[in-house]
Amino acid sequence: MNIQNISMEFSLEFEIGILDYRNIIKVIKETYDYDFSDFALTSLKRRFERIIQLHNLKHTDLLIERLREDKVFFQIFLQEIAVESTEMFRDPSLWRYLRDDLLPTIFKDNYKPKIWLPHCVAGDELYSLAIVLKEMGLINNTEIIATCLNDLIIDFINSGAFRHYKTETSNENYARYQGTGKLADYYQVRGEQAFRDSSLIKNVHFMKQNINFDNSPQDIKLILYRNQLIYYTQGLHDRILKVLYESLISGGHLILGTKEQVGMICSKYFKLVNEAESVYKKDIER
Amino acid sequence: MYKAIMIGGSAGSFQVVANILNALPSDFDMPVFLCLHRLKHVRSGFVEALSLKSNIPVVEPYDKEPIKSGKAYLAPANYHMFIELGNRFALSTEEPVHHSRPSIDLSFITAAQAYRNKLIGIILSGANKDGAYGLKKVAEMGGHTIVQDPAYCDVKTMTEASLQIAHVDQVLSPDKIVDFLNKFK
Repeated sequence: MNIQNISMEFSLEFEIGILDYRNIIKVIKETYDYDFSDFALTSLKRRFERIIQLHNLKHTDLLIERLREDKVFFQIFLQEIAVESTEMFRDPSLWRYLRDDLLPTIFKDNYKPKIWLPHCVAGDELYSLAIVLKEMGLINNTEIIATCLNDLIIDFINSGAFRHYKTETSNENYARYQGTGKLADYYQVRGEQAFRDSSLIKNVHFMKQNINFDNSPQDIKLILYRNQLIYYTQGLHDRILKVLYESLISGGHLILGTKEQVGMICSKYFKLVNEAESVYKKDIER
Repeated sequence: MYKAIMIGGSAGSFQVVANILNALPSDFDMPVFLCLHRLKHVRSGFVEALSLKSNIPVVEPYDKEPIKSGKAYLAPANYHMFIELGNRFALSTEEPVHHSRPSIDLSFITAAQAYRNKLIGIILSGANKDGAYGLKKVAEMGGHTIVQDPAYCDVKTMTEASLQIAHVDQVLSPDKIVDFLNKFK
């Protein structure tokens, strides 16, 4: 399991050219039928540059060779390409809004509402949500579905591993969220590594899901999907939002990152109900 | 001749940025990008403070928002702000650079790649060397580089780091920076 501390900063001076960038995408498509061509260029290029440095591969050809020949490496690559959430309880005001407004409304008319967290990477959002629900006494009345790109990511999240460099900001966020205790009640530090109490997510239903969002869960009441659409082009962004729309029940909610929008094409599917926290509601009229 | 202005700063830069925005005319014909170090958890207030005396609208861009002339764009809290090809913003929550998110280096590098020799890059007062490498890239792409005269900076770390590694076209006092930008009215 990859629980090394990946907070280290990478040299900005190492850059790959646009042809190298396209070659990497082409090889992944040919070898694994995984299509990265609809990812936002600047971010993905930086992820490639980062991975080449992280694995000490020196240049693009060595990365391409490794991708072609090493299927296990490709799974690690998928985990590292994804950008993790920055910390737990990012945007404390959103979590307060969930606790004080949105979740009480959802639980009022639902015995066991389904909440979906698509494309989990490090589990920070998942554990934050679990803590909110536990403190509200509702964790056992919720069906949480977490979809992930592969088993490595699922194992990482299930292990409770919590990157040490995120703990300080997460503690501050939780204090601003004003939970019932302190965040440190939910994790332990062992040496350089922190581990969250994985019993918080023992009832979470994990599913593998590819980047095309095939086989998405249905009858979802709330989708928490923050700061992942920023890594896709407008086309893929719109296609994913349509899938999310189909997954939600009428009147279900979608939460995006504070600086993400559903955009022109998908604005007909969703109504903005909280602008500051980027909370949308599936339009019932449609 | 130039198509965009990218300004970076941290400690001690707020007043200089406010003065620049106050001096630019309402029909200013370029986008002005502002990447300023700021607290991660404080999302509101900064745009409002900069807007008070600005003659052009100051906004924090959304991801994928198209770039327009005559607007100032402030990098949002806890996001990196990239200038993406296709005249749009792209935001990112990737790892901090020099402990900073937004990172001035990343905003400058992506703007340098997008605008090449049509970019003016300006580094102001700041307590971190984030920005120095970005300014170097602006110069390498043929853009025009300006550094606030360290003698006029509250904190000199950022400007001195920039002067060390980047080719800098002009070292100017805050007033002279304003005069220089006003030539593009």
